[in-house]
Amino acid sequence: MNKFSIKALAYACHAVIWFVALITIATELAEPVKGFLAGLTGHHWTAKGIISLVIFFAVAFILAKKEDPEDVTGLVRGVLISAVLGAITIFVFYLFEYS
Amino acid sequence: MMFSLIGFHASLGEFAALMFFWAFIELYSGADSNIRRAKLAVLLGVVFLFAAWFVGGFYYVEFYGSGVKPLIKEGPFPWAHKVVMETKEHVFLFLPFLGLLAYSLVQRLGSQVANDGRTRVAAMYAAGSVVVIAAGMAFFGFLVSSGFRAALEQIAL
Repeated sequence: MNKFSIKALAYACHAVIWFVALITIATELAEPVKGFLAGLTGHHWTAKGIISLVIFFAVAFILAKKEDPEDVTGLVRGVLISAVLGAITIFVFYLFEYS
Repeated sequence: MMFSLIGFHASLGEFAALMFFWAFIELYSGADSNIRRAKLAVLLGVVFLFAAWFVGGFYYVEFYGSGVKPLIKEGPFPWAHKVVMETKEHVFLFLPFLGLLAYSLVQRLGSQVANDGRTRVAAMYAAGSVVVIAAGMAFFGFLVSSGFRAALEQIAL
């Protein structure tokens, strides 16, 4: 993992978080999207996980050489904000779907 | 088989949270020996997270969808699946990647960025976030199990 800069890993985390949030909503709103993912691996959730892995490492490889700032706390804080907002987006979406 | 798998998944997730909490404490102390132990803790934490993902995923795909989900949806707490489980199964996917970020930050300590206090703080943020989200997953798991138990009680009583 040391070949990747922290900036690359942070952007990779952002990409995965927002991919998961958006594909989750897309699969619920458009049945063909769910069917397409299920067709890839047998189950839509398995496909989401595998695609997340691919996205994470693809973004990390592409941005691997990006230079890190001296203070990386801002990058990590950004990822945590993304994670919280992504989780809230998914939770609120299902809450609205249910109500 | 079904209940052993869910117990195994939950245990792996709890061990992962424990390892990241251990790393958080070691990082807070910050001496060289603490950093060495933090590196071991995050490595174990990442392994446990991926194992929890694999075991939980196998249970979810093979057993939950066909045996548990329909009962919860017909039971007194359908939200346990429709809101809680749906959120849990997707937010869980954030965890292995946050774990990898924490692992990468901790590995840099003491070598590439010796005594870099800010990187140590960033690693604490990442490790702490894994602990908090994993605790949330455990609570959501409890709610899903409660929904299943309530559905079974409705059938039995």
